[in-house]
Amino acid sequence: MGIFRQGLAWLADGAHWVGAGGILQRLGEHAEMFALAMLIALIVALPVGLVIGHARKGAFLAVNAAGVGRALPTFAVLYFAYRLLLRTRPFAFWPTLIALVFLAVPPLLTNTFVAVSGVDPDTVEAARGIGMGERQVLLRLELPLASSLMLDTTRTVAVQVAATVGFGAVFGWGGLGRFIVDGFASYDYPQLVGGAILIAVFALVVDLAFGLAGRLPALRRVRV
Amino acid sequence: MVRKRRFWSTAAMLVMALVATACGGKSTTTGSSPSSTPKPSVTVGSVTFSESQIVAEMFAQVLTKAGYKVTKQLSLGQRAVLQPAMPGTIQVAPEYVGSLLASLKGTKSSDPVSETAQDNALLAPKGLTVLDPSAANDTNAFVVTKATATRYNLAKVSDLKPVASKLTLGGPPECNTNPVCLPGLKSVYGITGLKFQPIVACDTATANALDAGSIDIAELCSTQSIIAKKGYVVLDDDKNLQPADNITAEVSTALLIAQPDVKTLLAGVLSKLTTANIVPLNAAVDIDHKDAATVAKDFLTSNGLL
Repeated sequence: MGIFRQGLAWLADGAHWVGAGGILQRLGEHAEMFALAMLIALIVALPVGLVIGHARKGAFLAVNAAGVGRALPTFAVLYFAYRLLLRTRPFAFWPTLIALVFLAVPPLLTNTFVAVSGVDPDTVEAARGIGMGERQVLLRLELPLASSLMLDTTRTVAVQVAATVGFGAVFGWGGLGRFIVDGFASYDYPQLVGGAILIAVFALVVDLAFGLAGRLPALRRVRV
Repeated sequence: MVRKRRFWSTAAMLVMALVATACGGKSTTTGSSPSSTPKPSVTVGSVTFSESQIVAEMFAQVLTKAGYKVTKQLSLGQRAVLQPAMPGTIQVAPEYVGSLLASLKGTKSSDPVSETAQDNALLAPKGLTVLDPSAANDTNAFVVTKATATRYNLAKVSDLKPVASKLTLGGPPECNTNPVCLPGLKSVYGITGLKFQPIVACDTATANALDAGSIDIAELCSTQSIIAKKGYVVLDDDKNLQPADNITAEVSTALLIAQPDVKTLLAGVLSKLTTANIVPLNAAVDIDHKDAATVAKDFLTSNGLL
């Protein structure tokens, strides 16, 4: 418990928050990387998941995407991307982003597929029966009905990504993980614990934010 | 289904056979040395980079030959991973007298013998002892590519001062706070405005980043074979910022007292190491991708230690 208190004391020191390499700068980097990774992952995963879910074909792709996603260690992806993209700047930025997108896409894709293809086939048939086109069926029936499960998945994935952003620091990128890597390397354990607390809090805030967003009527309303 | 069952039965037999061999092995070990007191188990550790692993392999092999039951815990990240595990989990590890001293917050010097004495004073309460250092000095080196050296006219570390604001230094994460890295460049050389990019210590990754132009200056270990291979320019430490960093052995004091031959064995290895002969060993692992154990074994054999 002593080390935890030292971590809190490190956080309480205002000098650690400002300036180059301060908490505010690292928090900004962390949030930026998190937002970018989630955005790209959603842009990649949602359309594909929706389309194959609607077609109720391509389950093979969706399920295997999840399998590969679980099997690929983020660390290995990061290392591989690091070696490939050494010339890119900022240092280790793109490798970290790619590793996070690889982490986020498979579960998003799979669960979007599951959510959409899980909509009651009788309901879908009925919609077609009253004259809805395929696009209308997808956007006005399947998407609203699937949105609840999709939001829950996005929330889970977001928390995972938020906590994993810290990994980038191992390879030289910034973010809140810097405090863990630097604190460890220089025997500054209060800094290490402070960094860990910051990442945990960041992930919890993300969880809370997605939880609240999921309660917004606009995102839950079923419009048929 | 039949095939599956056969697989499991084969697997089970294999496991039983292994168990039987293991038990058999144990009984022969105890049976072979009935009179002399059995040698204790010793765990040899090292950090991640090749040189540390090669020297740890040498320690492990001479101890094994002398009858110790040696367990190896190599590639334990960096000093911050290895040191807390000693002497409890790990009893023997290669160390560097100067960097060790800096991490213990002692006063560095260019004399490895006085550094060793300080190390021992600071380590005594932890139950650890550092042996007399070898002649192999692996200190920190600031290196640049030939192109960078020509462009900014760099030959020694003090040449960095006027151009520092244009350059990025790549080095281990602790460089920011390590007195022989950035703080030392500032206090001893008056170099400010250098951008810093944390990377892994004494690893090829730092050299890769230098080649890629992601960093302009790299802090490497002076015995890293890649320096010569790539033709990097080592900036002369003209104001003697770097301490002497001779390779030594850090050993559990309790083990040294209980088993006096441990000191003789490890000192025997250290006596053969020099700055000149450690570089090709590193090259064999880093560049030719040989196994550290093989490289260590060849070295010990040719020096009459195995």
